[in-house]
Amino acid sequence: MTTAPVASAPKKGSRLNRNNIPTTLIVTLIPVCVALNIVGGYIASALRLPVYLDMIGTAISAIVLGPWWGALVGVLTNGGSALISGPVSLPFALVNIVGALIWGYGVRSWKLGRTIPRFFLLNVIVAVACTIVAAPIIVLVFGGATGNGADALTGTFLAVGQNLVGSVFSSNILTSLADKIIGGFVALAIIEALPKSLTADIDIVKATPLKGILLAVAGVVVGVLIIVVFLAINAGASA
Amino acid sequence: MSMQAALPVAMIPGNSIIHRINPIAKLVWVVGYVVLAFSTQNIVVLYSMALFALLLAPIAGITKPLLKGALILVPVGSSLLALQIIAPAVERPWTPVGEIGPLTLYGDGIYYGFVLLGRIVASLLLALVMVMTTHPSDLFTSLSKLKVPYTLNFMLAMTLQLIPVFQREVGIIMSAQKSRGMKGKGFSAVLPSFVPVFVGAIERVQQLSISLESRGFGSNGIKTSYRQVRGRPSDWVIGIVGALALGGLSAYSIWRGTWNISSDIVFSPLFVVVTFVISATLFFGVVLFAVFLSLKK
Repeated sequence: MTTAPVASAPKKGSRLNRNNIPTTLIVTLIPVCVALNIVGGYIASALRLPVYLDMIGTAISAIVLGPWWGALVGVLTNGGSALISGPVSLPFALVNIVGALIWGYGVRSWKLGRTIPRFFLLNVIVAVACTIVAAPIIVLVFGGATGNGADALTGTFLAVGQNLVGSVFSSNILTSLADKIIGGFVALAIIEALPKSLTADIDIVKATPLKGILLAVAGVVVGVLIIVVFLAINAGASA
Repeated sequence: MSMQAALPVAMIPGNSIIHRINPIAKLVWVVGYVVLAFSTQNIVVLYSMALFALLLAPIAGITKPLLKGALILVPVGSSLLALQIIAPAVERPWTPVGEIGPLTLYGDGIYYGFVLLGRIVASLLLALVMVMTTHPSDLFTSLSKLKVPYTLNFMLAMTLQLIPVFQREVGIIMSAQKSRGMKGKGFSAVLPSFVPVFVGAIERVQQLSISLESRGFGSNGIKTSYRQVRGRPSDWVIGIVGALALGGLSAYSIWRGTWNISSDIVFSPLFVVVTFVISATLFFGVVLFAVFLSLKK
C-alpha cells in the first residue's frame, strides 16, 4: 500500500532554517514586518496615540524568526524609511537592532516570555537599552531634538539645569518605556494570532488585554518620571 | 480615516533630465551628500548643498511635492535650534545673550544648531529629489548590478509595495470597526487595527512563499528584470563628477578639522533671541496643533 505525500511536509533537501520555516517564507515575512514597522507609526498617529509603535514588526520577527532576522528587519526598516523620507533615520537602525536582539534572545534564550511579568520586564529592558543607544544618536545627529512633544520635556529638564545628554535620556526613557511595553504586548497579541506552524517552537505566554497593561505602563512611566525629575533637580542644584 | 495621504513621498512620474539620470549616479550623489554633510561643519557648504538640491526640483518638476515632503523638517528643525540655544552642544563656558522666563539663552550653540539643521536639510532634500525622480524597480535593478544580493532587493522592493497596501487595509478595517460601533481612536483601537492587518498579510505571504518556491527563488543562475536600466556616458560623467567633487570636499573638510567657520561668523544677541522665539513658537505651534487634532472628534 502506498501513502499519499503530505503537502506541507518539507521535501528532502528543501531549504529550511533552524525554526523549520522555509527560507522563501522568511524572505516574504520580513518585508511584512518591515512594512508594519513603517506603517505602525502612521497607524499610531491616525489613532491619535502618544506613542510611536514603530518597532512592532521588529519584535514579531525577532521572537518568531530569531534575533538576527529581527535585526535585519530593523536595518531594512530604517533603510526603507530612508528611501521614503531621506537618510536622516538611518542612524536609528542601531536602536532597532538592539531592540531586536534583546526581544529575540530574551524570549528564545533567556525565557523571558514565559509569564506576563517576565515579558513585561523584557519590554522594560528593551526600552532602557533602546534609550541608551538612541540618546547619543539624538544628541549627535539632531542636537537633542526629535521633533515631537518629548522635546518640550527635554527643554524642561534643560531649564532646571540638567545637561543636554541627561535631558534627552530623561525624556526619551519616558516615551520609550510607554512605546516598547505597549508595542511588545501588541506584538504578543499578533504572535498569538499567527498560524501555529510559525509559532510552534516558541515558549511564550498567551496575550493579555491591553487595559491592564496600560495601567501598569502608566505606573512605570509615572515612577520613572518622578525619578528623572528628582535627578534633574539635583543636577541643576549642583551645577 | 484618511490613511492614503500619510506617506506623501513617492516617485513623481516625469521625463525630465533628472528623471533620466541613471539611479546609480543619483545614489553616488546622495551617498556623497551624506558623507560631506557629516564631515563638515561649514555652514556655507551645507546650505549651498541644500540650495543646489532645491534648484534641481524645478528642473525635475517636483517643486511642490518636494516642499511638501520637506515639511517634516519643521518640528525637528525648530526644536533643534531652540534646544541648541538653551543648551549648546559645545564645551563650556557659554556666553549668555538673554533670558526668557527661567531660560537662559546662549549664543554659542546657534552656529552648531545651524550646522545640524544644514546637515539634515541638505541630505534630506537631495534624497527626496532622488526618490521622487527614480522608479523603485530601476533602483533595485541598478543595485543588483552592483552585486547587492537579489534577496535583499526583493525584500526592500516588496516592503515598498506593501506600505500602501497596509495603509489602505488599515483604513478599510478601521472603517469596518467603526461601523460596528467600535472606537476609531485611542488605545482600545490598537489591537482591532493592528492584528487583522498583520495576520491577513501573513496569510497572503504564505501563498506568495509557495509561489516563490515553485518558481525556483533562491536557485543559482542569472537573474533578469522586466525593467532594463542602461548607463549612458552622461550618467558616468555625472556619477564621477559627483564622487570626485563631494569626495574631494569631504577630504578637504576632514583635513581642515571639520572646516568650522564659527569664529568668522558673529551672531548678534538680538538675532539669537529672535531665532529662539521663532523656533520655540513654531515648535510649540506644531505640538499644540497635534494636540488639537488629537482632541478633535
